[in-house]
Amino acid sequence: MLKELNIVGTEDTPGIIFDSQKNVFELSGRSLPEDVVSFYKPVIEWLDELEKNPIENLEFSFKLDYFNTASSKLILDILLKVNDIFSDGTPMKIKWHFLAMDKDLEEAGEEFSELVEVPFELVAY
Amino acid sequence: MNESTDKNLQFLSRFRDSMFENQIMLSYKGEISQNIMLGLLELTERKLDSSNEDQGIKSKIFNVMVGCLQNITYHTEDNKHAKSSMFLIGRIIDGYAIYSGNAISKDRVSDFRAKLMSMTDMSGEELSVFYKTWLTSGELSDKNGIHLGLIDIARRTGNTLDFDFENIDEDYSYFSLRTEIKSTL
Repeated sequence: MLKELNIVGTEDTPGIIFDSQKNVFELSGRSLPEDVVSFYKPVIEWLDELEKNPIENLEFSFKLDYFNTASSKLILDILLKVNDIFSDGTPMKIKWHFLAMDKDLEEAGEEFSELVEVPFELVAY
Repeated sequence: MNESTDKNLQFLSRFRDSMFENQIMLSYKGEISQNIMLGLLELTERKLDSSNEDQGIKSKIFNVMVGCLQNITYHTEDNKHAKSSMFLIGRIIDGYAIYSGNAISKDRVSDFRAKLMSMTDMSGEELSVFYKTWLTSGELSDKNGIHLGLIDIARRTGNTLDFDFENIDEDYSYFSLRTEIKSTL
């Protein structure tokens, strides 16, 4: 059983819940930390564990309001990790949520979707 | 009213005229830390909310703001002119103008200027390719991060970067940047 990852969001870091019991895998809020690498380290480590003990049909939801360029690099790392697990034969899915008016966030989602093979759904709200 | 009060008030009047003329809605001078950045974001958010600005523009302004402010932080670390950093937002007919200024060590100027020059010649499509190439290159050094920040500003603003470098002393130049966010973009 994978440990639950629960990081409470702040003004400059997203809230993250990876909970296999509740079947919730979600990143939400803003991401502009001073040190992106150390902030996202536990997330990458959690995904390393998932790779060893994959769960089928897992759905990762990105519900971000905005993020800086350094964060987009780490978001891509997360997506590539999920993509690896998918490529190894475990069905997975990404859902990218964005406010319908927010063209930049929609475009960011489109760009990310072009860089991975894993099913990637853009969801306007 | 004595002479010095008169002079001080004249300054205030000139300052106000200039703020009005350029429709400045936010102006800051001083060191930029992560906390100051968050404070400026909050102020901007409140002002935009009170004028019922739409989410699309708001998001663009935040992204450009964060790009500019983190660029300033990067260039002014261990920089004796850090307190001379500036950040302003003004309204223009069809959107907003974002101004930022900071001292930059002279040994960085030529490389930095060259990168900016090469970017200003790029089309939207070229900038997008440039951005994606960087994103997938596997590098996350500060230097590239900041460089990417500027590519990001350029592509989000339809490449409206205006910039200039002025000499301030033996070791430093002052870098000024102006970009526009149009409601029609």
